[in-house]
Amino acid sequence: MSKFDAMSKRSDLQPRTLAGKYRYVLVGLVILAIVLAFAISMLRKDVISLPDSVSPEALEEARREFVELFHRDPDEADLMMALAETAVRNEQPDMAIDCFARIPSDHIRYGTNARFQEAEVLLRANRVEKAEASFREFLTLQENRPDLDRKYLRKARAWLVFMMTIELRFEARKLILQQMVQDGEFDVYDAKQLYFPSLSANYSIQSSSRLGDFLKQAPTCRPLLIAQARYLVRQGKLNAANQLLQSLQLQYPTDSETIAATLECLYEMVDWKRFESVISTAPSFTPDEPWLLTQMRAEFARYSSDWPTAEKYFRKVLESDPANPACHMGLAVALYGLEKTAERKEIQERSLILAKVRVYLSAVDQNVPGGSRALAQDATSMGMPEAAQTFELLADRIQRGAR
Amino acid sequence: MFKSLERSLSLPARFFAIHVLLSTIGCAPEPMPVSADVKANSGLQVETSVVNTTPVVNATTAETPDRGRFSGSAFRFREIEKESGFDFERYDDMKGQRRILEVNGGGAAIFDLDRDGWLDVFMTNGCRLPLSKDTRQSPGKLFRNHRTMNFRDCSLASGLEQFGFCFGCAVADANEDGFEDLYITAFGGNQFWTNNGDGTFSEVAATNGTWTGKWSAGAAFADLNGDQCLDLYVVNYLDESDEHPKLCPEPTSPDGFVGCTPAVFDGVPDMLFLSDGAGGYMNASADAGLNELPGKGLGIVIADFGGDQVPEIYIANDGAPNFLFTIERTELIGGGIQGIRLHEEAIAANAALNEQGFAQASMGVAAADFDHNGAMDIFLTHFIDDTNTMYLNRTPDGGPLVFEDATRQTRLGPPSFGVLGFGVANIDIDNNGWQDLVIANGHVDDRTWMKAGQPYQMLPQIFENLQDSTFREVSEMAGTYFQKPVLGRGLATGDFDRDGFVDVVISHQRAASTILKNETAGSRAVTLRFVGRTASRTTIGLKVRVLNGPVPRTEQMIGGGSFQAASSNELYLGGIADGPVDLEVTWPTGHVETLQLPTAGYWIIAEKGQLAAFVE
Repeated sequence: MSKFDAMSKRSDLQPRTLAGKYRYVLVGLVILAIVLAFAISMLRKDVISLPDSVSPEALEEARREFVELFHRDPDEADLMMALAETAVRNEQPDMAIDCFARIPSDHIRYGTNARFQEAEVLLRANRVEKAEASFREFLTLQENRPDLDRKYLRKARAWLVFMMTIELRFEARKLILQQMVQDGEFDVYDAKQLYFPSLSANYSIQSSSRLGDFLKQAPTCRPLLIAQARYLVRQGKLNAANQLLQSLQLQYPTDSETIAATLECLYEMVDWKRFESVISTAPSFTPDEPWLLTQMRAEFARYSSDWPTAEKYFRKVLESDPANPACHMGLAVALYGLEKTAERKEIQERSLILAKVRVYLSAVDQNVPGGSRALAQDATSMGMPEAAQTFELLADRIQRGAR
Repeated sequence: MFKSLERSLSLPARFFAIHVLLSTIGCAPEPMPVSADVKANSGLQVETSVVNTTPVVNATTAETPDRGRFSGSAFRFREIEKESGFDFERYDDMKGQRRILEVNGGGAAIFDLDRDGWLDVFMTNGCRLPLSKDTRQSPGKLFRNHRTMNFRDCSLASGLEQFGFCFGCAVADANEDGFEDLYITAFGGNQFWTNNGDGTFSEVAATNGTWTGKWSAGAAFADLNGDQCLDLYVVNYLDESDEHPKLCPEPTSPDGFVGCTPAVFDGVPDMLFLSDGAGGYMNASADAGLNELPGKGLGIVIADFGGDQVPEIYIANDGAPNFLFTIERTELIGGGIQGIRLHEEAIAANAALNEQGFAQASMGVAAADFDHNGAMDIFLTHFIDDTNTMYLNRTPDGGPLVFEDATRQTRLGPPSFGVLGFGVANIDIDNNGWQDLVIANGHVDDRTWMKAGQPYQMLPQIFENLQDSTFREVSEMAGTYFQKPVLGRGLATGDFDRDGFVDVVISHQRAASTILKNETAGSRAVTLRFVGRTASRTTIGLKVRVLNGPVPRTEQMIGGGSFQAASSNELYLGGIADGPVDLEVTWPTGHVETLQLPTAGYWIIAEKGQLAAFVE
């Protein structure tokens, strides 16, 4: 048989031989794919992309410990949670944060817990923007977790209140506090901050210093810089505040909070010319604008002897912050200008009550019901029935606890 | 008579002549009229537009040459040396428990005890606590000024032995005998030292009705019921015990305590003593309505804030709303004394709380027309981390009292934030006709050990009135005293060396007190001492309107002022042009006179234009 005959024979056979070959090849490929897939899946279990702060040794250690404890192989989430909690115990915040970040919020086992713990670590590290985001995420998640111990909810809210207090974000803080009171999970300090925010505002060196720690982690964060400026104003460092706010104004010319803080500084500097210029750039009044902005509108009206406008805006602030002593004083002046004598007298009498409350407010605490009762009484005199009720409740609670 | 005196008398004799002339005015005390009837004196001129301008004496005080024309240069004060004879350090029994009684320190009174024309000074002192009747240690001290700040301690010789735990002072010729008397506030027993006129004093509080066993801080004399007799208002502070003082333990403190705040104490109502015109007083506190108003008073100033010739009383309360009392005359009370009712109107007048609505920890108070709008303003010193406060008087003509918190506008806020202010006085430091401010600062509690500690001793401050309702701090340029942190407390003012520039005495704690000689360049002030005849001799409530010169304005003689201190009962008019000085004087009786003084200098002016003595 010639080569060609052999080839013909093979070619005659080829169609049958080729199909068979392809079948085998195909089968082989499938088997190979299966093997490869299996191999990859096995390998993926062993090859997790590690955060920079986690070493392979740490990972191995975590894996080994997990297996010992739970007698099963951990998945990535298991490992990240284990690593994060170990890092928390060992005071390694960067590692803890990195690992928690790898756990998705919707993870059925760890999502909610991770957000809470992550937030706490972030706060301890003074990374407040992310801490707040994590706490808020946690609050949303816990709504679907009726099994979760309420103490975590209380803690999360308390931390949010703390951050907002340092950052002088009274409006946002009020919403959290209201939820706390609504749920019946609040104490005397929370109630004081809710109902007497202006009187309990703390512009102390300590608060300012803590804000400074926040700023070190986020030096360009606008709300933090605004707060810093406001502390400077309260400490009489007007030039420093003015410089900071001018720079913020350039970056955020239409931001209401920036405008409000700038106006406050100019008000203290008695620079009415610039005040007028800045207030003209403010957006039109909206009920949900910063209280400070509304107050500055009122102060400008007072300066301009525009008594009806001054009255309007001072009253607007008092709707949100009924125990604002400066607005009481300003409203009294406006009412004097409008010759509304009886109303002015009433407002001035409330001013005296507030002045009295301011003196003893810091001494009202969890231990003695008398302070809360006194606040309840003064709140009644101030025309603040909800506050009165809350403080009566607290007083009763303290009294029961004392028995 | 006056010209012949001028030619023949030596200097000491000239002063003796003044003394005799003044004695002629008042050595025979007249019964005080209820109304303002004039009692004419034979042989002397009745009111006229120009008094006899021939000087009685023409002695020049060679020690005080004219400084030259006003240049608007920096203020200058110099501490006088110990060799001057002024040597006093207050004792406060500070033993580490930080009792609140220890912290307020003392006060000072400036007055001419012997009518020799030179201002003398008294410093109050504390003692060991608890009080003991037999305590004879650490008395207050009386220093007689033997001319131009040459002081001698005459406490013993004068019989003015102030024992006990004393605080503040008020000075006036209470019994109208021509010699200024001294009221001293204390813890557990105020003292009324009547000036016997012979260099000695007698303590009469127990017998003249002005004794009180409370903790009194400030006091002021003024005619409050319009009977031309000087009444006495006493400011009471806190309800505290010397035997069982309130203590505030603090384990982290070096001595185991921190100072308690006034908030943990009850306040005590002030007291009003109405003069019976014969050296006695009646306690009219209840009738006046004071018993219902327990404040925590420290400072007091009595002035006509409303411009209606009726005084008002302003009380600086520590951590409580301040008081502003208006006076309503009521019926006659015991002994035929004109009764009064005090109406508290500070909140209505916008002078109780600051602009932020806060009742501040008010300590010292000054009253003057800072902005030359014709109405008396009020300036208060406050705690650290808070501002001092300037209330500008915006009372409309004939209208109700109203003030405006102008702290921001006057630029007095920020410089006061880091200090704790006590004594304060308005002085026209450079005699340009505008009232400046001097403030004594110092903390009440040593908190330097705290993490966010506060300074304990603090720098005093001076603020220059820029004549546009703003002030500027000029402490750094004012002399070495203002670079030295101290615990400043009571502060009083007077021209000790008769150079036409007002000097300052400051009571310290934990250090010797000091007198600051005003060495600011400028023209001399016109010094005026008024002597009432139908009005009370110490003419608190008198007003002077400067009619000519570069700075026309009105000045007023006030009762009280500063913190626990009594400044001299003289008016110092700066901003006076060379040449004749035209004044319109409104006496406390309401009687108005116009006067022309030929030159600047020291003038003693009696009511009804009956005498004007000139001492250069």
